[in-house]
Amino acid sequence: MSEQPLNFSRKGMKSSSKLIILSIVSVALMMLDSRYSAVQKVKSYTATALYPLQWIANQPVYFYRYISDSVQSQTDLVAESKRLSEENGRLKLLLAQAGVQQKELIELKKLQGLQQSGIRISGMATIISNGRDPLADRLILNKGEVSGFKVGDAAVDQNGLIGQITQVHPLSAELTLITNSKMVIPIMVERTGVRSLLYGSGSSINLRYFPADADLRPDDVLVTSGLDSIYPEGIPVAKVLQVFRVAGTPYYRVTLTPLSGFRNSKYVLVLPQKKLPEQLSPASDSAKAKRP
Amino acid sequence: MTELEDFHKRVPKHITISGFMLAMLLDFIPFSFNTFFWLPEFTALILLYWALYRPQMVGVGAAFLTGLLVDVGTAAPLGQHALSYMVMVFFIQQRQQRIMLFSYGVQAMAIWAALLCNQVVLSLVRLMYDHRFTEWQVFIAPFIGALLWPLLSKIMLVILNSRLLRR
Repeated sequence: MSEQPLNFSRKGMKSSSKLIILSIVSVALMMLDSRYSAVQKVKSYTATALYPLQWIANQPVYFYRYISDSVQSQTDLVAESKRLSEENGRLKLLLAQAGVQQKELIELKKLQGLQQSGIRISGMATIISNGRDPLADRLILNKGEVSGFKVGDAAVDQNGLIGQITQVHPLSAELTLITNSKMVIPIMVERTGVRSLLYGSGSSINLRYFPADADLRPDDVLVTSGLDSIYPEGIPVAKVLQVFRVAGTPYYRVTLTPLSGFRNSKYVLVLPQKKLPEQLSPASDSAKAKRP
Repeated sequence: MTELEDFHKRVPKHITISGFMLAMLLDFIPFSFNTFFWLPEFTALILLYWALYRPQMVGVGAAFLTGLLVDVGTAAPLGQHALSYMVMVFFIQQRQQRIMLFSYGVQAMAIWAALLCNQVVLSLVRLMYDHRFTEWQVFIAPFIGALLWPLLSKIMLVILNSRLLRR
């Protein structure tokens, strides 16, 4: 193999100028990432090319889990099965009750001429990577465009809302957690129905503007209000821990804890977005506004 | 030119590239941060290795490319690792001739400085991008990386040697 020895009359750019130019390129990429579709397209091709590598990287984890699952003792399994069948019975009962209520609700909504919008699910996905970065609030899912996922779909885990899909590649997808500082979620208090907005604030979530004249207590559960096209109504998001009245502002100061497991959850359900309602004509809008 | 340099130049390109792939594979394994925060970035280590032993082939440009791949693979903002790897490789390349003369112990110090540089750039980018500072534990990883350096060098030598002997 012939390579030139290191000398001072080397062809090509000097590495310092190369560093400067490529640094500018990478800063530009950081700016354009998630804002410019061509960058995303290239990124998604690269992600598809890297998928085999990610798949192999996940095999040790799967293998470890498989082994640890198989060596679980018999008694554990029996206890688990007992607990599960109990829970199953309880859930079945609840389901039956919910069915009755759902039916009533459908009838009521039909009476009002509103559409029934149940929660649909476009698929289950496994979280295959949480990345090295402790602060990154993005996860990588093992399914993508092929399974019908779209940018903007909401994702839930077993306890509640976990985030939103922000980038879809053919075989994988990127999930941004609700703690991301760019996330805003329309919520309502499950007990009272008061609506507000929930803001991601980096490591946690924040209820910044909850009016102090409305009722809010510790242990209240916040659920999505369904006032947008993204999150279906009624998904639990967070639980209120403490509520303070602060003199001088018309808002409560609230400490919250998110309900979903974030780093601990392994599977997520992806919910497709609602179709946006047809544009209301201004006439019907004003008619609605006049209605008491 | 020393014999060692010549030896590394005779290593075919595909070996170098598969080394990078293996390192990326290790980096993509979804270890949780809470228990594995001390794991160094293997891609960065292998990049440093080749930047030291084969500066004609692996330089700032290669660092940029690998960085972009790692960004996509770990869902980091595109360009973050590219920038930090470039700075790291540039840092080491400016002193490449001198570092090669040192013993493994002193080399490990240089590697530690380079990895720390990498980590600082990563944290700064994160600070700009997200307005948050990384947890301090991430600065443990460069130490471990530097400790692994003599081992990595030995392993690479063994692998490359065995290849050459078989021919």
